Amino acid sequence: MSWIQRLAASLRSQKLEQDLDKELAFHLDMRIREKIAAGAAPDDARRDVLRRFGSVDRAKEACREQSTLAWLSAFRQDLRYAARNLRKNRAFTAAAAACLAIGIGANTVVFSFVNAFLFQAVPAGVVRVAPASGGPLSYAEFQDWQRLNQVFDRTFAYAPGELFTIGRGVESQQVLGETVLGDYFRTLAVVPAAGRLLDASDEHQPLAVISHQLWRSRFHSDPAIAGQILWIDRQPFVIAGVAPAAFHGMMAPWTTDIWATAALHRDRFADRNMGWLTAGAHLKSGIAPHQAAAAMNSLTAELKRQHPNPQPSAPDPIVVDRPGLSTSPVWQVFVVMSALLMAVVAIVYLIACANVAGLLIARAAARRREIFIRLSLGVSRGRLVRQLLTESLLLGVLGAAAGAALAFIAGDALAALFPKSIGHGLPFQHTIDLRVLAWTLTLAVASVLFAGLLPSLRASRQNLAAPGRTPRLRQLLIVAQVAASVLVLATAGVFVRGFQKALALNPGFDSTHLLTVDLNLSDLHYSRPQAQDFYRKVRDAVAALPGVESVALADVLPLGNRREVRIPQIGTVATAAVDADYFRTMGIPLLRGRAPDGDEASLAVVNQALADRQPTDELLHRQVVGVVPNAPQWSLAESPRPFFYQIATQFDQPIAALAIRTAGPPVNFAAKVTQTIQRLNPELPPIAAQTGEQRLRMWLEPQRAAALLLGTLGLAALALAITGLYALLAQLLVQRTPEIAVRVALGAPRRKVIALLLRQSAIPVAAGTATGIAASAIVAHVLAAGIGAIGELDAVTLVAIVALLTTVGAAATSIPAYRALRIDPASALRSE
Amino acid sequence: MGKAKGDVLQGTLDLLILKTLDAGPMHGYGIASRIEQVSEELLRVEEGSLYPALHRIQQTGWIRAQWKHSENGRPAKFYRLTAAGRKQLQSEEERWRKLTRGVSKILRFA
Repeated sequence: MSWIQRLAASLRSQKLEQDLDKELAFHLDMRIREKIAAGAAPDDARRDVLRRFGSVDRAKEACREQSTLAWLSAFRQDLRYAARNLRKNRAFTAAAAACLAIGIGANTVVFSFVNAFLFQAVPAGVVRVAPASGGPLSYAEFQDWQRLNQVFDRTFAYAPGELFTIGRGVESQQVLGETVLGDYFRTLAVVPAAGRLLDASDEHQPLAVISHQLWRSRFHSDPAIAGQILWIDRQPFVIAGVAPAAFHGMMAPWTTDIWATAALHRDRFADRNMGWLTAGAHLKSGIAPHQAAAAMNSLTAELKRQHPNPQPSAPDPIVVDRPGLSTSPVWQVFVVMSALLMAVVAIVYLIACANVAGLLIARAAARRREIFIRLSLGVSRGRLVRQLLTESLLLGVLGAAAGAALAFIAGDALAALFPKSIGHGLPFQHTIDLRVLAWTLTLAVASVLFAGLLPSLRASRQNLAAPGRTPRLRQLLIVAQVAASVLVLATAGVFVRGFQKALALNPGFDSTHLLTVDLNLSDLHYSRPQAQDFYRKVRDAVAALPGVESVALADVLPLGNRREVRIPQIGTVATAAVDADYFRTMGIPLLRGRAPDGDEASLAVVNQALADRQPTDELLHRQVVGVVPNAPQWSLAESPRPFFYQIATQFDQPIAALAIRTAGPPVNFAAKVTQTIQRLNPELPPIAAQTGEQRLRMWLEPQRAAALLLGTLGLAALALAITGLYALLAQLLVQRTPEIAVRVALGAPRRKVIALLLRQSAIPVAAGTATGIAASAIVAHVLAAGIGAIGELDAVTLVAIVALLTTVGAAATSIPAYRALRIDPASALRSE
Repeated sequence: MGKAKGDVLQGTLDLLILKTLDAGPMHGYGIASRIEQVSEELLRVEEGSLYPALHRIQQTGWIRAQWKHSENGRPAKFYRLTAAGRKQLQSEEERWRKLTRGVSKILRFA
C-alpha cells in the first residue's frame, strides 16, 4: 500500500466502513435465507453463498477504492502529471514560481510584522476611560474611580513608555517598562507563560512581570523564574511571572519588557494634580459605554466638589470608548502604514498572479495540440481543468516555499529599516509563526484561483481552428498590472516627496554645529542640592572645552521627552525649563521682546501660538519677556501647539539635557564631551551625545523607511508588470513569425512590422499608466486623511513615473522588435 | 475462479444496473436477483463485482444511495436512479442496440 493509500485509509470514516459491512452482510444473509427456504441445511447454504460471492474482502477493497479513492487517485495522477510537466519546462516553472515567490514573500514579510500587533485582541467589554483632552490621571483620581464607580467590574491603570534600568553594574541594561495598577492583566485576559501575573492586591509590593523576550534573552527561559530578585532602577523587585510572547504591553508596536507595580512611584501618590496614568476598565454586563461615561462624569463632578482645585480649569468630560490602549506616539502611524503596506503587497501579489496567468495562457497556446488530442481522446473538460489547476497548485506551493524563505531573510533587513532611534532602539516584534505560515499557504492556494482558473478554463475550450489571434485577455492583464504598479510607485512617490519636504522643514532651531546630551542622574541618588551642583559642574566643564561656543541646560529638548502643565483657562500647554543661554545656544530667534539674562528667575518666553491666546503673567506665574516663532516640539509633523519656556537658574531634577554650540562639526566633539562628563562621576551610566542633525533625522526615519519600503515594492511591482509585457510581446512575435515572414518576403517594409509590435506594447502601457495615476490621486487623498499630510502627488512625481514607464516599456519592446527585424523569411517559412 | 457460463459481459453490467433501477429504488441483492429473474436465469451477476460497480456508478452521480427498511424489515442500502442516470441509461441503451444490431448482422452475413 502506498503512503497515499494509507493516508486515505486513516482518513476514511468509520461510518463508511460500517455501511459497507452492513450492505454486504445484508446481501449474504438474503442469499442464505433464499437457500434455506429452498431446503438447504444452514451450514451448506452459507458455504455455497460465500463460494458464489467470491472474496468478500476483495469486493470490499474494490468498493473502497471506488468511493473514497476515486478523487484521491485522480489527484495523485494529476499531481504526477503536473510535476512531470513542470520539470519538462524548467524555464517556465522557474519564471512562474519566481513571480509567485515575490508576490507571496512580500505578503508574508509584511504580515509577519502586522500579525504580532493587529491581532493583540482586546477582550470584549474592555474600554478606555479618559478625559476628552486625553490628559493623564493622578494616582488619587484613579484610586477614587476604582473605589467609587458603579459601572465597571474591573479597573486598571498604566503608565507605559518608562525606561527602566534593570540589573546592577556591568550587567545593567535599559529596557522599556510599564507601571501597572489594578486588575491590568486579568482585565486584558493575559495568561502567564510562567509564574503568575500581577493583580489589584499586589499594588504596594515591589513585584514585576517580565516579557517573554526578556525571559529568554536574560534568564535563558529559566522555569524557576518566579521569586527571583530583579533590580529595577536600583531597587529590588521580585519577579512574579512571565507574560506570554504575544503580549506586548501598551507601547505597541514597541515591545514592553517589564511590567512593575507602582512601588517606584510612591512619591507621586499624594499629589492630586500630578497626572501620569491612563485608565482602562471592563464594563459591568448590561452597561453601555455611554451610560458608563455619564456615571463617570457625575462621579468626577462629585470628586471635584470634594477636592476643590484652587486654579479653575476648563471642563474636561470623561470619555468611555473601545481602546486604542496603546499610548505609543507611532501607533496611529503604524496602523495606517500597516494597512497601506498590506494593501500594497496585496497589489504586488495580484500582479504576480496576473503574470503567472499570462504565462499559463501563453503555455496553453503552446500546448494546444496536446490539449486538443486529450480532449478528442475523450478526457472530460472538468478533468482537464482539474489537471491544469493541479499544475497551478504545484506552482503556488513552490512559490510559497520560496516566498517564505525570502520573507525569513528579508524580515530582519526590514526590521532594521524601522525607526529605532525614536524608541531608544526598541525592537519591533516580527516572527514567522503558524498564523503567518497559514497566511502564506492561503495565498498559495488562492493563487490557483487567481492565476490558474481563467487560463485552464480557456485552455479546455481549445480548438485547433483558432490560430494565434491578438490575446486580448493578456493585454487587459497588462493594463491592470501597469496600473497597479503605477499606483504603488505613485504612493511611494508621495512618501519620498514627504521625506524631502520634512528634510527641508525648519525645526525652529539651528541644527548645524549643535550637539545635545541627555543626562539621567537617577542611578546616582543625588539630593537636590547635589544635583544642582553636579549640573553646574557639567556645564562649566563642557564650556571650558576648546571649540565650545556656548552651553545651555534644559529639562527637555525639542523632539525629545514631553512635558506638559495644566494652565487654567488655557488648558494643557507644553513647556520646558531652560536656562538663559538656551536661546543663543540652540539658535532660536526671538520675534519680540528679549532673551532673559543670566540671573533672572521667574521669567517666561512663549511661542507665537501661546502669545495669540494672550496669557496673563499671573496665569503662567511668570513674567513673559519674549516671543519665539512656532516650531515643532514633539514631532516634526505636528501643527503649532501652545508652548512656553520657563527660565530656570537652577536644575535639580534627575533628568536634564545639555545643548552645546560648537565651532566645528559637532560630531568631532561628541567623544570629548561625553568623556568630560563621565569623568565628573564614574558611576554615571553611559551617556550618549547626538548632533542636532541626528536628532532631526531620527524623526525622519519613519518617512525614510516608508519611502524606501514602498519604493522597493513599487519597483518589484513594475518589474513583474514589465516581465509580463515582455512575455506577451515575445509570444506574439513567435505566433506571428510565419505571417511576418510572408509579409517581409512579399516586400513589406520592416518598420510596419515594428509598428505592429509597438502598438501592442504602447497601448497597454499608456492605458495602464493613465489608470494608475487616476487611482493614485484617490489613494493620496485617502492617505492624507489617515496620517495627515505626508506629502503630495505632485507634477515631479508624475513626470518621473511616466518617464520610468516609457523607458522600461521601450526596453521590454526592443528585444522582440530586434528579433522581428532579423526574421529570415526563408528559414521561418521552411520551419512551418 | 473461472468465468462461469452466463456471466455478465464486461461493460454491460452498468447498463443492466441502470435499467433495473429504472423500475424503482432497489438494494444490491434485489438488483442481482431481478437481473437473474428477468433474464430467466440466462444472465448471472458476478456478485463480487456488483457492489464495486454500484459504488463506482454512485461516484458518477447516475445513482444515489439511501438506507431504508427492506421488505423483511431489515435496513438495506437502496439505490435510486437520478435524472442524469436516466439520461445515461437512454444513451447506453441506444449504444447497445446499435452494437447488437451490428454484431447480429455480421453473424448473419459474414
